[in-house]
Amino acid sequence: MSAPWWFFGCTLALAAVLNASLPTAWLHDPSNRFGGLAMVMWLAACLALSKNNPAARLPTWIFSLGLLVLGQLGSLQLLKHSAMAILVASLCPGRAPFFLMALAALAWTPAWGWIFGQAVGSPLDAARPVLVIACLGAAFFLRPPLNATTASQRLEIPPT
Amino acid sequence: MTRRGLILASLLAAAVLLSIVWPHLPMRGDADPLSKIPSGGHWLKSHDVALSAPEIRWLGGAKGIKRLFSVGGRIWILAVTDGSGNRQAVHDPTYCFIGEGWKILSQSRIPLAGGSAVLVSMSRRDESSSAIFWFFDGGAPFASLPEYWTKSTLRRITLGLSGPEPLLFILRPVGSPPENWTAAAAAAVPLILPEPRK
Repeated sequence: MSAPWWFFGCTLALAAVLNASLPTAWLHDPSNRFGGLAMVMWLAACLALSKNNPAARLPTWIFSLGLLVLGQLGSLQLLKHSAMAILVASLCPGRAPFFLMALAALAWTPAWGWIFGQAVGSPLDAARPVLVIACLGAAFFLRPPLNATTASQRLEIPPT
Repeated sequence: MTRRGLILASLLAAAVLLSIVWPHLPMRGDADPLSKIPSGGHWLKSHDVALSAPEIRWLGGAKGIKRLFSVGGRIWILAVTDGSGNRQAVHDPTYCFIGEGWKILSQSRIPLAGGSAVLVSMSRRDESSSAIFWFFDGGAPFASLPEYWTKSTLRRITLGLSGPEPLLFILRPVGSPPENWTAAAAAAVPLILPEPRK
């Protein structure tokens, strides 16, 4: 059964609309000056990891949609940002890269960044891009190898 | 369309509909909790200060008051925010202090009227200051931002059935900060807390 990518696309579009205030949060949060840069890096990292072999995780997409709606009903950005982070990170093939890139979203989610800062006693601030790079490095190292079918499709080798 | 496709399309449609409609549904509870904050009395003399244009812009749909009052020979400035109309207007007050040019030196919890508040010490060039902030929803004052998120989120999800909206209180002295904040707050805060709300 093929993956319903239209569902992923629609959920992502809804997440983008409901998280449209993110740039405002970055501008007004003095410890989040690098949030925008971290998000661009994070998006590029997720796309690079999922290039040619994106993972289709329908239960995770449905979970993200639920989280998104809960965040909208409760007016809690933390849930809406988390939903978008999980949704995009779910494209990364392999369990470890998925979790690592979801963790790397700490770098651009203002509320998680605040919670992290309170826990360690210092705001993330300039360490945000470093966190994305570190998670990307670990995810790249732990990514699963392309299976033979995917590799042959990618190289356009006709099946024998 | 397959059965699975129909279920997924229905989920999406329900999500979009709820996202649009829910924030506009009426919520139970006090429409103007700021009006319940005492503005005068035997021990309390106060007057409201007009909010600045950036403060009004930042509040958005939220409501806020700024009030000068004197208790025990000391003058205080009190800012209270009701995030009912815009929950995003209520955030960690240290962001505002940093925005005003203050450097945060320390943060600690102090007891306050059966609950707790956060005491923030700060400096700017050659001056130093301090402030306390707390949240109040009719019960004991609390200092935890995640507790505020939980209460205000539950309130919105249940359309007000879970309880009243917590208000954010920020109290700062005019002039030099008190040496004993706990004692100073114990004298001033009970006079400015509103009556328990339904």
